[in-house]
Order: sequence, then C-alpha cells, then structure tokens
Amino acid sequence: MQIKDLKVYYPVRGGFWNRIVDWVKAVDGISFNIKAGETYGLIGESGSGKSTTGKSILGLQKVTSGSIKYNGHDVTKKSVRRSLKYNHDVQMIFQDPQSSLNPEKRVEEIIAEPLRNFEHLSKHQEKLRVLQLLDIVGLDPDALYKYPFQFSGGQRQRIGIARAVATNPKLIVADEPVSALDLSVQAQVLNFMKKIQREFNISYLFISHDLGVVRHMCDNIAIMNHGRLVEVGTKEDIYKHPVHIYTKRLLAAIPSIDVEHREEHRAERKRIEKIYQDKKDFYYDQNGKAFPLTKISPTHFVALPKDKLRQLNVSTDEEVES
Amino acid sequence: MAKQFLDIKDVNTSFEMDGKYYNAISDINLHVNSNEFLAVVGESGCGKSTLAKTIMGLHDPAYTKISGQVDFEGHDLLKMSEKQLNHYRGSKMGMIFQDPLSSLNPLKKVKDQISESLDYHTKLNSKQKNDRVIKLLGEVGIDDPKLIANEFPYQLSGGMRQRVLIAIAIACEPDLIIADEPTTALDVTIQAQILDVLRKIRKENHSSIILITHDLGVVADTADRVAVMYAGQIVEVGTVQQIFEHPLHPYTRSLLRSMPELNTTSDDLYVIDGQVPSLKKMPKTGDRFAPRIPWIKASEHEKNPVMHDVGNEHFVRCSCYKHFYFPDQKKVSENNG
Repeated sequence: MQIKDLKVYYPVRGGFWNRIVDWVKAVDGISFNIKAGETYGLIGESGSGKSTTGKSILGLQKVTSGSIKYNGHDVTKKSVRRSLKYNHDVQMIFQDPQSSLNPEKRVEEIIAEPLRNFEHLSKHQEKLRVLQLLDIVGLDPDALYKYPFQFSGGQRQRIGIARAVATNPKLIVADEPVSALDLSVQAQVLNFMKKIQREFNISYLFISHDLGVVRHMCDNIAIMNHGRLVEVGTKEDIYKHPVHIYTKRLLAAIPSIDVEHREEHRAERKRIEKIYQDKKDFYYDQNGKAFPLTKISPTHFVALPKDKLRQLNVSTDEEVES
Repeated sequence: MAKQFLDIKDVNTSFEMDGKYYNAISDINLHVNSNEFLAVVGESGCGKSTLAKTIMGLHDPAYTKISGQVDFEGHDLLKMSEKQLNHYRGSKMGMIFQDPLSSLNPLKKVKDQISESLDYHTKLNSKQKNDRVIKLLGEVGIDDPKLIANEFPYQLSGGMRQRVLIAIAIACEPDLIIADEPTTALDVTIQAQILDVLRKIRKENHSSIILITHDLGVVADTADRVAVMYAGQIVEVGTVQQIFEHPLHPYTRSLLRSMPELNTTSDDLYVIDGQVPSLKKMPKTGDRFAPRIPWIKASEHEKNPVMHDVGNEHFVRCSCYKHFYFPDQKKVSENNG
C-alpha cells in the first residue's frame, strides 16, 4: 500500500449563493507506505486528520488529490476499487463497539454480513465459518445467537474484529480500536489483534492518540499534525531519537508511571513545552504549517528543511553517506 | 501532621432495580487529609463515580439507599438536609465532571456560569463579581480571560471548556474538589496542562483534591495517595510509591502488569481472565477478585475479606495477597507482605 501526496479538503460554504468561500485542509499532502504484515501507527491529536486519512484509504472519503496505490493500482476511483475486489481486502475496526454493531441483529448475522457480500457460501458453510471466526477471537459458540447488548465492551470489540477478518483481508484500518476500553480489556483486544496478524499475515493501519499502545503494537510510526506528517520512522527512531519538537512534546506529555522520577519528568515536560511555544517559527513555516519531510536516516524522516536540521546538529542522510 | 478533614466510614450505596436494592459500593472506609491529592482508580463499573456522587449527595434518594457516615469538617454529610448540603456544595466542595460540553449550559456565557455560584454563596457586587471571574479564568490558565468570559461554551475547545469547569468548581475556593475523570476526553498534551492546573490550585488554595480516573499514568503522575477499587470495594490503599513500586493486592498487580507502557517488547500483554461481576450477580461473601485468579486456592482467600494494615498506612483487602503469584512466574516461597 502506497499513499502519495494525499490531500483531502473540505469546502467551507457561505455567502450569497452558498458558494465555496474556503477550504479546510484536513489532510494536506501526506505520503507513506504500508508493507505487508506490518503494523503502521498513525498518531495525532484530535483534529489532526488521522481519521480522515483512514477513511480515504477505505474509500469512505473522497480524495481531493493524490494517490492511494494498492499493489500498484490507484484505488481512489470507485471503478478500480470494484474491479480489484478492494473492499474485500481492506476492512475496518471501529473505535466504539457499542455503536458500530447493529443492535437489532444477532452476532451470527453481524459477522456473516461481509461473507454474504463477497463470498457465496451455503448456509452450512457460512455458519461453520462464523463459528471458526468466533473461535479465533476467543468467544463461545453460544455467542452466535446473542445480541450485541449481551456482551461486555471487550467482547463487543472482539466481535468487531471477527467481522473485520471474516473476508481474510490484507489490510485492516483500526481507528482507535482500544481507546474506549478499560486497561485489562484493552490488553485482551491488543493480544487478539497481534495473534490474528501472526496467523493471517494482515497489515494494520493503527490510528491512535495513545503513544503507549502504539509503541506496543507498531513497527513503523508516522506523527501527524494539522494534516501534515511531522515525523516518520521506526519505533526506535520515534521513541528514542525524536527530532521534531511536536513529537518531543507528545512524548513528554505521556504521564510517566515512574513515581520516583516524576518531578524530573514534569520539569522536562515544562522545558519542552517552553521550547515549543518559543520556537514555533523555527519548526513551522510562515503559515504555521509543518515543512516537507527530509530524510535523516534510511528509515527516519523529519519535517524540517536541511539548514534547520544542521542548526539542530542532526545530520541528513546524504551527509552520512558522503 | 495533616488533619483528616474528610472521613468516609463504612459507606454502602445501593440502587433500586426491579424492586430490589443492589449494592453498588460497599464497605468503603477512606479518609482524605487536608491539602492532599488522592486518586481513586478502577475500571468502569467499579463504583468510583458512585463514591464521588455519594460524597457530594448527588444520588436521587428515591432510588438509592446510603448507609454509613461521611464526616466533613466534623459534620456528617449523609445526615444533612438538601438545604444544608446546598450550602456546602459549591462553597466548600466543588465538583468537576468528565464531559465539559454536557455539564455546561449551552445558552449562557462563560462568565454568567462562573458567577452563578458566586451569586449563591457570596455577597459580591457585579463589578467585584466580574473581576473575580476574570481572575479565576486567569488562574486556570486561560490566556485571554476577558475575551473567553464573553463566549459561549460551543465556541471553546475541549481543553478550554474543561478549564471553565475547573474555574466554576474553584469559584468559592472550596476545601475539597472532586474531579471525576477530568482529562479522559482530552488529548495528552491538553491533559498534561489540565493536571498542571489542578496541581497549581491545590498548592495555591490549600485544597484537597479527589481525582477519579481509570488512567494509571495520570495517577502516578499526580497523586499523593491512591485507593484502588474493584467491584464496589476498595482493595488497596497506600501512597503512590507503595501502590506503584510495591503493589500487594492481586488486582493492583495484574492491572499494572497489563499496561502496554511497561511492556515495550512485542510479547503479548498480560490479560486478567474473566469479567467484573455485574451489580445483580455480585457475590455476597468471599473475595470478589477470586474468580479471576482461579489458580489461587480457595482456602487462601478469606470468607469475608477485610482490610489488612501492612504498615505505613498501606492497606490491602483479603489475605490472599500473601500467596499470590502470576501463573507464568514461579511461585514465590516467601511472601513480601
């Protein structure tokens, strides 16, 4: 999956004829690649455009410009998606399991729905497949005839996962899959997601604001800020060697469970917050937008021009090579 | 020595459902010292919000039965009439709710909402009130208080709204502030700012704060003392160091182990088997956490678990903590209690 220069603008209408007076640039030119079998983390605060990116990849959101290439085919057009059976290969896990499962349907029908859409199975085969899926996510066979309200939050999210893997997808877009769940339930759901990934070689696009969860789940991470990517890299690049102040600020804001050093952690956070406030001009261009990405190592990209990186004593990739 | 100014003794709160009363929280014994940051942690449904509402007297008496005692500066809050309570709420106790949009009046300007409790509890004239509102908004970290005071809630961001709610809660400088999940709906960077505001208020107004949350990171970052709740009971109370560095109760230990933050390798996270018992199915006797740690023998649990004092104000419910071990780890021969 290659996403190149993706832009999604929403029109702002107003004035006499309800003309378009302005555009909200929800996603403003982002590019990244998701490899088969990996978990790609997309992190950002609310309003950063991360969910819009997820929706565009699923084809639920019309793209203003740019391309989303899946195995070499551009899937931003509906006709291409249909001929590729794209919606068969790409599925989604939603944030809120309460509102994403139809309350009037039994679990059997909920999980069978994608199967009925894409695979023409007999009644018997379909039931076997649903039972198999329930087994994968660790639910009892008698769950088949229950309604969503009869389950706890974690179980409901597992039903959502069962539905997402029903068609053997290649990519699952998981939009904040565990942020509505309690800690112990969250662990359960994350474990199932990992197990399924190992068994079926699925890629995840893991959209989240929780840096702890992303650190546990993801191999490669992109940090998004106001519709642009500010830093892209592997888990080590982002967590051990963050360069952009926005990444540093996000990392510093995570409450530390290290009680003994909490005063130091707090002081560090204040220090970074101050740099962030004072040096906004340095890290963002004159319109307050992030700069284009610059390569600083084969895997690590930062949204700063080369001369500014040099000021920060960060060597760019070409310099390392030469 | 700090004095105990809120003392909760043997509090039980039960709700009516289908003609029967079910215990939502039982056997709660907890005190808050003056100028203390106490955190109450637990998962959804463990009764932490019920406890907050019991202290504030916000339950509908038609459907709830409350027994026990909540001593606040020498008066029992549970025996007060609604009128007496109204005098306390706002002026001596303030509450901050989770969802700032639904707890603000959408039709009133920010300044009118803040001065509402000033109207009720103080005799300031309108000029003084206005000054006080501007000062309060400044205290909660709003850069341009004069502008924000004249805006409506929908014009503000989530973090700003939460700041306004805090300003309302501290308007009359209460001695006790109860914050029920104040940062759950916010981004981490905003969360850090709100927690800073709470810490600052506690320092400057010398008030005590009860922070109710499910986020262990927030607790470790801010609290002095921690009470861990499970299925309507407090299972462990101690200082933040005791809870995070030497947790004793099986539930506290399991919860800490299931945090992804601690587990940086790509191994599976620790999962607590089973589920929290529902209100109607709550066992009358026995350790409520026992069904979720089946590898611990029944004989090692108490029939009616009580809180054990393990020294230095650290309390644990049930004696099973002495024998607890994780199934994938070797059984420890000597206990650390």
